[in-house]
Amino acid sequence: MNDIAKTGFLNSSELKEIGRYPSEERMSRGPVAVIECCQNIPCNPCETACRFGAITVGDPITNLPVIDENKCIGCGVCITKCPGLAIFLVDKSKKDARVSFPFEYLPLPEKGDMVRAVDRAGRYVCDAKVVRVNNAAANDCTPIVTIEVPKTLCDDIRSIRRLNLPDEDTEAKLLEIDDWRAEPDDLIVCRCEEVTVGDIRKAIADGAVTVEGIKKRTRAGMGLCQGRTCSKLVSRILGSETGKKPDEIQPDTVRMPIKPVSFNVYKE
Amino acid sequence: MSKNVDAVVIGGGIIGLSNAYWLAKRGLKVLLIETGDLVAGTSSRCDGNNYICDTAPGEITHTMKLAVGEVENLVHHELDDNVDWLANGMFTLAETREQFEKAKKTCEEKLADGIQCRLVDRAELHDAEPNLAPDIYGAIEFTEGGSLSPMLFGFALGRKVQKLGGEIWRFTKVTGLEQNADGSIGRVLTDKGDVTAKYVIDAAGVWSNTIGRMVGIEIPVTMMKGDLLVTESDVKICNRYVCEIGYNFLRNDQKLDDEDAVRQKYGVGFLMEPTGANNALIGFSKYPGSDTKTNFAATRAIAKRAIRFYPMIADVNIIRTYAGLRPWTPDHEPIISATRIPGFYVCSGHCGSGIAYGPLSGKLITQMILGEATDVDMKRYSLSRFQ
Repeated sequence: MNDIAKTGFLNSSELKEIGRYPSEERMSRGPVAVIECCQNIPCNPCETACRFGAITVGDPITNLPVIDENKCIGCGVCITKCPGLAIFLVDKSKKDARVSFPFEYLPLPEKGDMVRAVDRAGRYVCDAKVVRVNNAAANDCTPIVTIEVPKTLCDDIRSIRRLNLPDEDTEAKLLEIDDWRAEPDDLIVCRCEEVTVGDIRKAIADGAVTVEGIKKRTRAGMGLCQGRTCSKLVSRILGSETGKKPDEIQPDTVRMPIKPVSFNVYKE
Repeated sequence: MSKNVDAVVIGGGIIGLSNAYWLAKRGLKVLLIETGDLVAGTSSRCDGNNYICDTAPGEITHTMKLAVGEVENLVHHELDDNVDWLANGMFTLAETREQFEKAKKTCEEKLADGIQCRLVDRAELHDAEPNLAPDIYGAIEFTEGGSLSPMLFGFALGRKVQKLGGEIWRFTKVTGLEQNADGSIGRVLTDKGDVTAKYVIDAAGVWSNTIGRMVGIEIPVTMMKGDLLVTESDVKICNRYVCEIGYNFLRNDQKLDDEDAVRQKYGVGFLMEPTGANNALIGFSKYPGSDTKTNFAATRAIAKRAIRFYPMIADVNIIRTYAGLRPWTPDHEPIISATRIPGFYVCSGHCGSGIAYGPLSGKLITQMILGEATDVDMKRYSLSRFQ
């Protein structure tokens, strides 16, 4: 099993293993709710949302919800009521499978759009077609998006990539680089302060031996995002250039208020 | 490792680097020893203002004027790197009519000391600073000096020291000091080896007493904490360095006018320094403390105070807060001094003005070491004034 405390979710085989996934037979008959809740917290809006009595939390309220797959008609009302966004619909009745999920990011996709389907960890799986976007008033601002994907992938696909992110995920690509020695000097690492790999090399040549030392010499990490984007990259460049192992490099100092906050809010 | 130099400077902040710069410039073989990276302590947890607005009248103001001149000379003629020097002048803001009356007196005193300044009335003030709260009554404008990035200044000084032949040992801890048989300073012991030196300068800032005690010298420098807030860049709030006139009162340990308990407890007032990176630093606070974690009550009070002076800042983001420890002395004036141990000098206790005083302090110590006439009378800055 994956360590759920680290990943934050159960994968489809784990859900099947512990009997928390609908049967293939039920999914082949039409849409059915898949409840992936794995936290014993006092919470039961799913139970009260279902008009068909298909979801039971019971007493105590910290129980995990249990679905009766034969009572579930696949209406999807529970999707919008789950505060943890942990409920989905899977439908394997047609040639391609359909997956419905809550999607609280603007802009919303439109019916017919081609989008990038992602798994529970947010990793790209395949391209998918949007077949429905349900943003009715009753959803209370939790739109439900339904996409069409191959049956072989539908148990792992749980969302789509946000539409307003750049096409190429530059940051993710940069994070995959372990050895930075061959990277060009003009590659920007800290986008807030426009600090390049070359600037960082110069700081290291000037004597910087820590992420903080680089920050003080180049301003990498001193901008709006406070190093949330670049400090990992800076520490890898430092490792590549000096031969230090990751665990020998001290992370940067974290300073309040972590994320930008206005004076008006801060003063309270 | 064993080494022989003319002078060892202990401390790699602005004060230590300034000393090393002057000693190297005057031809001495100098080694600077710093326990961490350069400018990693007080010098990177402060603001970078070099204006002459808050000194007491007379001798100390003259010294400060010379000090600012030394900073400008370094910035414009000696250093090889950009240090984000900004010289737009500054305003000390009088919140009320009563404060403006006091400001008139301050202005006269400063003029008598040869400082360029003038009173600015309400209309002109608000013309120059359109975001200022409409009821702020007036200001004094100071035009000498400027502000800089202390970190860039420190690294630039470090490179200059090395160019002049000085040596810098970073990440090196001083573990002891040894005297010669005749009582004069002899050796500096470190975890990287020992160094024989004719002169040792204690420029360890808030830690200078720890160094002094290694040879039985008490240096009455304590830690005085201050918090600063950093705004998001590229939002133009003010056009120049501004601070409330209460800064002057506070620096000289007078009570603030406001009776607010939190402000009194943490010595909170308002200053704003635009930086070369297009952020603004917002201060200030002043209270005894020994850690560099920001104090939430103090930073909140600073935020409130900032909104009082510049209401539009309410919607501007704070991206970072930080706190530093000023090396404080009982009379708020620096110690630039020889000691009863021949060859052992103290250059510390610059309170909230270390960046501005640094270069002059280094020059004065060097003049004393070389037996030359000093630019100012050293009596006022002598360690013996506390004994």
